Amino acid sequence: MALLSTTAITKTFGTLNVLKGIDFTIEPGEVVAVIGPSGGGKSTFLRCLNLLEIPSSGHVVFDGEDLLNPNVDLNRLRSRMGMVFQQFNLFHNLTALRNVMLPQMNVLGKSKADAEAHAMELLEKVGMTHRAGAYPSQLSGGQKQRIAIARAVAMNPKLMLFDEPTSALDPEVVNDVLDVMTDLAQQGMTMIVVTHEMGFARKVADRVVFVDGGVIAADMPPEKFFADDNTHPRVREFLNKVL
Amino acid sequence: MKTIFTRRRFWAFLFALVLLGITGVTAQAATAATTPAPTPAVTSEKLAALQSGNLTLRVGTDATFPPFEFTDANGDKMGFDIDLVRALAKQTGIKNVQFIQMPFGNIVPALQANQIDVGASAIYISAERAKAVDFSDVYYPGGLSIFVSDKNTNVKSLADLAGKKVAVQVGTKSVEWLSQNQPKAQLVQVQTNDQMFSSVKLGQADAVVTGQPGGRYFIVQQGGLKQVGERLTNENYGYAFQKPDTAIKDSFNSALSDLKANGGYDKLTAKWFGHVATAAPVSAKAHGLINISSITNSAVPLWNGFVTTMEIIGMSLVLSLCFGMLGGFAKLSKITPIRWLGTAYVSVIRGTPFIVQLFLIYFGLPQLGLQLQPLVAGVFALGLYSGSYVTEIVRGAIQSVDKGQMEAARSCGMSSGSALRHIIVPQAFLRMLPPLGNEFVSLTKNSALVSFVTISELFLVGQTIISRTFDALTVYIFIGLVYYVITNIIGFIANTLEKKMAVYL
Repeated sequence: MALLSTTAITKTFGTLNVLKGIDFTIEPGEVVAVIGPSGGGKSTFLRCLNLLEIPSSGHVVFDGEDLLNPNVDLNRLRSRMGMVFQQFNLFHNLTALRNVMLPQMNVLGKSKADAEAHAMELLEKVGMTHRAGAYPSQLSGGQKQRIAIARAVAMNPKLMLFDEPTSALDPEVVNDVLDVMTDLAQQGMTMIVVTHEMGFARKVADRVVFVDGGVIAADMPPEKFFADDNTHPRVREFLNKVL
Repeated sequence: MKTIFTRRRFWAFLFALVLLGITGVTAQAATAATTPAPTPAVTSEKLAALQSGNLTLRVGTDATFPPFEFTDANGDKMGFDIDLVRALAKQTGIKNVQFIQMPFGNIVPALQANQIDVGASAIYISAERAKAVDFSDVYYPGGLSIFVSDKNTNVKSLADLAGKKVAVQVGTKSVEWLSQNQPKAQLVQVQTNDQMFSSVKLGQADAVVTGQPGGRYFIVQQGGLKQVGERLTNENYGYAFQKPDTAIKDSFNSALSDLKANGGYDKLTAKWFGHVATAAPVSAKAHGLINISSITNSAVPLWNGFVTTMEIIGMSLVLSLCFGMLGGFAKLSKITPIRWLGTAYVSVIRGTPFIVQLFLIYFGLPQLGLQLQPLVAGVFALGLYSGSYVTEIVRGAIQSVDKGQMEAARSCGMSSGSALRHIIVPQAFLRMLPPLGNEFVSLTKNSALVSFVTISELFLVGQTIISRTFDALTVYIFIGLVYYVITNIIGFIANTLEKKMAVYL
């Protein structure tokens, strides 16, 4: 059974139709790269998956439950879907360690000791134990993003959503973050990654979803998507621009 | 802000508001029910309760009018009225008497609002006042007289007051009498008795029209003024009582004739008015500009006033924060009526003078059956007023927190309440500190205004000292300094707190 599926979701901001009916599924363990031109609706699509944006119509079913059902416990479902933002969005008033601990304690009800032990373990994995006591303002972008990933992973999510995680980073630290994401994918995490990193999409993703004009214009394995003989006109045009 | 509040939370909040409203109404109804009904039977019960010591006789007085009533260096009230009321109460068997300081103009409203039982403040018996309150028999004959500077030679009679500035105390008989008998006089209405005399000494007014006993007492004490012309009127002083309260009034009247018969009354008039026989002008007595003794002699009441002021500031500050938080969140609410409520609160409270709100709460609400203690009314009014400014500070600070913070918290599965408590409010609070510091400095300064509802805080204590020493310069400089120190301490605390909390910036 699909871990997450959407049926005909649309999103309208005023008179602007950003999403025009998206059908999408992802199986457990899959890594899907969402790419496409700016303004095509990639981020809005991703934000509709955990209801940071409420779709104007359609359905989002995650882990067998319809997120748009008003009786569903949205907080519980969101805790199983980690999200990583372009602007990191670490909690400014908490240290790196506390950032990773707070949701574990607040949402999962873990004890302080358990949360701290788990947080330190994850900071170790992303190579940030030496900055555990630092506040976000004292950290570089790459460091912040690795901590943000640790914070999301700490919830033991079934699915991770990445919204252009490297777009706000200096080029020299982009690979630090991509390495962490690659590790995560290799451990079997189900991931949906909105990205402009074509190398990452090609190497790590199982599928590439091309969102353009508010619809999924192409959905195929990366070797086919990036193949020289891909004749999809919009994909061709896009790849010629970015590659 | 879209996902901050869920629909369910809104209904819970709305329900809580409605519930609050209902309990408020019930409480009000209960207060109304416990207020004694105005029937003679009940008032004689009241007299019995006073005589048994179960109730305390509450006497309203403006103790800024020597020799009738004023405050000594220890903060105790003294004067002819104070002594006579005590003697009359003793004669009638009333055990406990409490004098409550209030501006003269508030005494009749306070009687009507059942905040006091007797008004004893050199009140003239007038037909106008007798519509609102009952008067005792005459306890002292009085009458208006003209007083001018001892150097003044051009005011000798009522006719000479035409076109002159005449100082009168607001709410007193002089105001009404002059407007009828010398409408050409320009009235300078001042709040206290001593301001009346000071304004002539300082040249702010040409003459004072006030009760003869008070004027003569000032001449004996301070000099620099003289009485001119004959007495203008021949009225009489009486004690004022609540309209239906005939039992207490009657017992006072019979006690008064008893005292007159046994010589107790004569002893008191000799004590307080004996020296007034010498009406000859006394030249101004020499005083230094700044008299430290005005402060040191009154250290105890000043300290008590300071403590009261700090209590008022502390309590209204907490209340202001509560109102501000409620108001701020109401203004950010997704539910339109709640948002309107927040907007209306700020609009009404910020759009009307604080003093009007204070008087409405203290003097107006009793008509709706809700009678508040002066301190409660003062703190509530200050908190309500300041809270309207804090509302805008809270709203602005919360809106200024990056919306990614809320999104990150919600995407982890945190509820909007948890996100507010752990993430948004702590960050917003840091941004609130500088404007909150400013607002609490304003609140501190406004706290001086609650002296109008008879709270003996620093400013009112200062005024009573001035009514005794006539040393406005020293006392107001000292009190100004105290407020200056308090406001600077608040500023310092806000700054330190901000620096301490700003570790993560």
